[in-house]
Amino acid sequence: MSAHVDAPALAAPAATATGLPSRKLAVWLFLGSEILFFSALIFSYIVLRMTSPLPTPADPNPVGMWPTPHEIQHILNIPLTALNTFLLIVSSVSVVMALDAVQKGNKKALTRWLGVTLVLGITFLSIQGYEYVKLEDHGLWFNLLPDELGPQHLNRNVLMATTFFAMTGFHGMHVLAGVIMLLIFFVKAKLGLYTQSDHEGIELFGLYWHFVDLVWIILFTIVYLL
Amino acid sequence: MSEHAPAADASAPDAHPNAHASTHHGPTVKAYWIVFVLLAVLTLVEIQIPTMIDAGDRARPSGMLVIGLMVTALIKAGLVAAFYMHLKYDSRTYTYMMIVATIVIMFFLWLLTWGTVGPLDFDLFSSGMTAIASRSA
Repeated sequence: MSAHVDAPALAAPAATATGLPSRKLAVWLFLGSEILFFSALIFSYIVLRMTSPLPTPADPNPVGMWPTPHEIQHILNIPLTALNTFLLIVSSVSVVMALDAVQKGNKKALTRWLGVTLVLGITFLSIQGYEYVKLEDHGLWFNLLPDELGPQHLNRNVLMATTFFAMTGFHGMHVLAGVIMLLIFFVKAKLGLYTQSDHEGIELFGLYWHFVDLVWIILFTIVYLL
Repeated sequence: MSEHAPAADASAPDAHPNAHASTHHGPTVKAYWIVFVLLAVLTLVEIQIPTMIDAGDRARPSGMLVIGLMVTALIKAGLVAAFYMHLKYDSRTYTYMMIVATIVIMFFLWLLTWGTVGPLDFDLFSSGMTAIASRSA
């Protein structure tokens, strides 16, 4: 690179072969790989559930039968998880508000909205941690199903528990990674390191965070409501 | 507070107030909040659907329940992607990348699950028990 560069040239975005910002393109490619990852987990759940034995008049309680919604949904505490879903949606709004703030050069609002997102992310993780503790109290764990499913619970398919924790656990780890990144962004915003013309990190983080929200919207439906 | 960022400047616009305005074509703040309200309402509707279409003691969800819930979830996901992730406003290349990724994984998972999960296991109007019984017959 030449040592002599004009000031306007520094401000101009670098030209790329695709015509798209390289870092943004990389984040979208990463999100594409995340689609493959979560789809594989979700499909594993669907296949295992759809291929589990069904009750018949001759055998109403076959070995390996998937727990029915009546048996499992009250244990999963859907109202609490719906609240968590709502918190994640609110956090998506706060991220776009942070981006809007920095685009308008409002550093104070940027810090405030990033702080709100950080609190919401931590709250989501705390509620998920609480949910896991309560599930274990009920007897639902990675390789265990609750006794309260009924006297024939031993016939139920324990893979329901395994796939449940795999999907929600991996999603939770993504939220945790997001919270750690948020903490860094929050500190950098506090230090005034983002400006109206230099805030690509906030935008790229927002893409990741919204994707995590989007995945939860699908997971919540498939795991908790169906 | 940073030593390099005086308090008086903390909420003030940067030195180049129009620097980004010419390149920012995203949704407005009002659009963000409208989408938020839609997402909140759809979430409320979504958690009511299983009570309206009773999943009951079925070992598998009915087709109506699957369609009702998945349509709601996909509308929510679409709103997030279009407005919060700016796919509606950004280069179409990003949208195509996501569509291709989705099609590729769906195709390969469809191949992998060939014969294990298919239309015969998916009965739109009655329980899974009826579907499996008709398959065995």
